[in-house]
Amino acid sequence: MSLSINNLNKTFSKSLVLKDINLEIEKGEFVVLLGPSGCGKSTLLNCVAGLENVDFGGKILINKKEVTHLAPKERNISMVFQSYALYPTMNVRQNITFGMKCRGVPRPEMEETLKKTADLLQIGDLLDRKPASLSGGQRQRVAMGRALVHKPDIFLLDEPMSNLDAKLRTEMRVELKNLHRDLNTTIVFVTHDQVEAMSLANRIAVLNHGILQQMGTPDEIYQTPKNLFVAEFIGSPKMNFLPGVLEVSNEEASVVTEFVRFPVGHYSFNETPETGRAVTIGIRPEYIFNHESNPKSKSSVCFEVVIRNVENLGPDLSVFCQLGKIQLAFKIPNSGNKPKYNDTVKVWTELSECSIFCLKKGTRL
Amino acid sequence: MINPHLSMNWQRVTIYICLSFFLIFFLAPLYVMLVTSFKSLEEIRESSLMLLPSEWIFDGWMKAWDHACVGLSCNGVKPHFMATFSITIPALLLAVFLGAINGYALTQWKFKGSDLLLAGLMMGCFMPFQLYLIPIAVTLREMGIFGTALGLILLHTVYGVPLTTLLFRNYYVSLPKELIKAALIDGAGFFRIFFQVVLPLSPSIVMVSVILIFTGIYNDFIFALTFGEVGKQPVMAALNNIVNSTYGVKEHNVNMAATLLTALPTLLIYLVAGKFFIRGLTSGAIKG
Amino acid sequence: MWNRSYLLTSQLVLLPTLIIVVYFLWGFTIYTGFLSFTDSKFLPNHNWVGLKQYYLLWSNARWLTAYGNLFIFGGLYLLICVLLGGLLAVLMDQEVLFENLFRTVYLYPMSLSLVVTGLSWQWLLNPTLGLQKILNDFGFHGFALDWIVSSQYSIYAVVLAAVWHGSGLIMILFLAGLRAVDEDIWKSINVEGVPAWKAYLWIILPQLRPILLAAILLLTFNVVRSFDLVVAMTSGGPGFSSDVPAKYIYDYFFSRSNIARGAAAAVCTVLTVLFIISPYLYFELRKRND
Ligand SMILES: Nc1ncnc2c1ncn2[C@@H]1O[C@H](COP(=O)(O)OP(=O)(O)OP(=O)(O)O)[C@@H](O)[C@H]1O
Ligand SMILES: [Mg+2]
Repeated sequence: MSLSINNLNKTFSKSLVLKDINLEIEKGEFVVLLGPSGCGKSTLLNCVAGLENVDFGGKILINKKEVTHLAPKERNISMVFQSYALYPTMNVRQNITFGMKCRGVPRPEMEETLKKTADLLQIGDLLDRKPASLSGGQRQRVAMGRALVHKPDIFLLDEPMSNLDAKLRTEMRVELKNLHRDLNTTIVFVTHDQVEAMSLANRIAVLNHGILQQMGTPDEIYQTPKNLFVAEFIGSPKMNFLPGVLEVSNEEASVVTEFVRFPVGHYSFNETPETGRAVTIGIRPEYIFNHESNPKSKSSVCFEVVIRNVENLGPDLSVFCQLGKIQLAFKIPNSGNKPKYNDTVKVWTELSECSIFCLKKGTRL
Repeated sequence: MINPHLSMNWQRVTIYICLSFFLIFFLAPLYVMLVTSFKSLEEIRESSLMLLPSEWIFDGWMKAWDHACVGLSCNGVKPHFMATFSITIPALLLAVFLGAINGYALTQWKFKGSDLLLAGLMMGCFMPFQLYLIPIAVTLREMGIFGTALGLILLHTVYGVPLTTLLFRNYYVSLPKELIKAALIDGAGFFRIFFQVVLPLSPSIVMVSVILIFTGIYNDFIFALTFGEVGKQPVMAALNNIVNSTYGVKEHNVNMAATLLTALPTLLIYLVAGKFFIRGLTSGAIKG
Repeated sequence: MWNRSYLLTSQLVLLPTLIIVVYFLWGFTIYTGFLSFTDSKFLPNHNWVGLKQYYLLWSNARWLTAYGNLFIFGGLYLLICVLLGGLLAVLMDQEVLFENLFRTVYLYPMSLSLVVTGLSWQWLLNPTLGLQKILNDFGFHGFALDWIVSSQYSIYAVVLAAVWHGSGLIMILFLAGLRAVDEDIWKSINVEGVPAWKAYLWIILPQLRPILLAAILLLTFNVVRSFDLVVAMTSGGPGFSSDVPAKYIYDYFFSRSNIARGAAAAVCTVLTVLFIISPYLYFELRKRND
């Protein structure tokens, strides 16, 4: 079901934790709330679930019906917690059926739902065990099961994978994706892990300091970050930033940095570029090469850097280097001769996918 | 602690000598009471305090149990045991149950005066009861339960609840909030969450409170003395009456047997469930 | 937080306790305070007489003895309990064999009531048949262990019994504190070759200040409630030599039919203890918050 959040503010003892959040989530969408620790992701999720009151004026609508003042159970949502919050004294069966008992679901129906859910999540043989005797992955499945039995309109997941090891996390990601495809429910998923966000989401909402920074598809977020924070937060190694000033001549704009002049004539500016504006140009590591990629491209620039560090990632190399005092990183295939410490090498950069931000406001130009 | 400086032999010997000395100091009264209770009155007068009885006699215990005189009635401590338990058990259950549910409720919301209420509870736990005696007497009279078991049950409940509330609150604040959130989302209400999710998590703290409150009520003297039912006072009041009565010859064997008899329940609890007992005693310190 | 009906329920649940606290604890305290300004005798009445009861109280020799005993008893009890408890804890911390046995024995008096404690020490200190007799039998005739019947020493007999009852608790508190001391601190102490007693005195024990605070508070409350022990052991005698405020108050309430005087004594006792304990509490807690 669709979820909309209008003008939501949340104050905890005078500190504003969520600031004027507006979100529209379509039916069946998989939306990931992404942001650093403490930015208010859990708080936002709790507000949607009805576990926290929102400040006056904020509205939450589920399926176009206002639920701002309803109790959690009246909202037809389900939630999975980071710690799973399984009831420690109940076995798996009781954990899963507790909610149905609370809602007075008749016994036969309860049994059937339990069986279906257990089959779906392959936890049929765990039903009589206590949470303490389950592994992390199993606990997570049980928590999912407990949430699923309500047949919720909206599924809220608060960092459900952060307690799993890397391998299990990858597996669960695939499973969750499949589950979403099968059930086609709306999912709001909280994480601070960008890989999780990029791989799961239909759309990502990036949050920082309680402010919604950008909402968009993973590609939009990655390619056209709306501001410096999003640009910096997403991507590993980080996007490279080079401060400079704009210069516009003959309708041809360029960014002049200390050592290099970047022609950005092709760039579609949101605001009319003006000469002398302090900006920073952001280039993803994948768009810096140690060979001439496309000699005909007008937006390719060549400059020299000093190698500082090389990290071997298997198929790729992350190369960290310096241009003057500025640290840069780029990624090259792990083949041929590797650059060495203190080498001075020539690199080419492709500017067709670069971003330009106002240095003062941090917004995309 | 591993401490090489103390591993030298004579130091270890000193340590054990000290520890044993205090062992004797702490055990002596119990030992003396025990041997005295099994001696005849003549032997008490003639032989030494520390010696074992030449002949083990159970008369003292018999008399203490069912015909030592408490005031005018000479039925021993037996009826008083009954009276004590009929007061202790209900008051104990009430105080622990109310404390648990209050303690839980206290952790669920922070309101302006919540710290104040807490401080109030704490102060109340530690004031001398002398401060309350007259108003209690007035209140019980007006309620018509002065000098009845019901009155004592009420008193022990009322003055036990602050303590149990604190104990449970301190335990429940460390409970993960997510558990409650999950239950709320599952659609459970306050009482269902309390009874089915929270209470099952608290067996150890329930045990601690039960032992602490039981010991407190059982060992209570001042309420028993002041508000106990004539002829059916709780044991501590009765015991004091038996031993410190100024009538007749002092029967030390009976006195000691009575003392031991009344000491037995809490002593047994301590020996069986010492861990919980200690936790109850020290929990006041931990929260500070 | 949460939602309304849930909150409302939890508030309703707390309401009775709130009423109890306000009525049975604070209401009663205020009422007793009020009675101390009246001339209530056998029954409470509301005839305001100002500070008269306080004048009478402070010119009453028995009260002065009882009040003085509060300090003798309280001071010695606190001091000895803390020293003995601390000593026992340090000894127990030396990886002794049978630690459980020692601990169980040191602490069992805590499970006994003060009445039982008082009665058993009353018997032990019995001037004709108690320890005195043993000493005599061994030939120490000059030495008289007759504290309990001496108007000079009876209060010290009470202190002895109280220490016997309470020092195990302090031992267990300190021991828990010692066990929580960082292992690395001990390592560095050993590496630097600091003698053990110095290490305890200057490094380890000062770390246990919060525990000391707790211990002192717990003991103080026992001092204020010393009624049971004194009644069982000496009944305040001989004469009024081992009287304490708790017993004084009780007697004026119930056997002397002078409720107002008892109330005045109660107010004075509580205020005294608060005056002594609050600066210490304030100082310690502020230090901890820094
Ligand atoms: N009950 C509360 N009272 C006061 N402040 C709170 C409360 N809950 C959260 N906060 C504050 O609100 C901010 C956002 O918290 P929130 O738990 O939503 O962060 P988060 O984005 O989920 O972080 P994480 O990734 O670490 O889970 C934090 O600064 C936190 O300190
Ligand atoms: Mg969170």
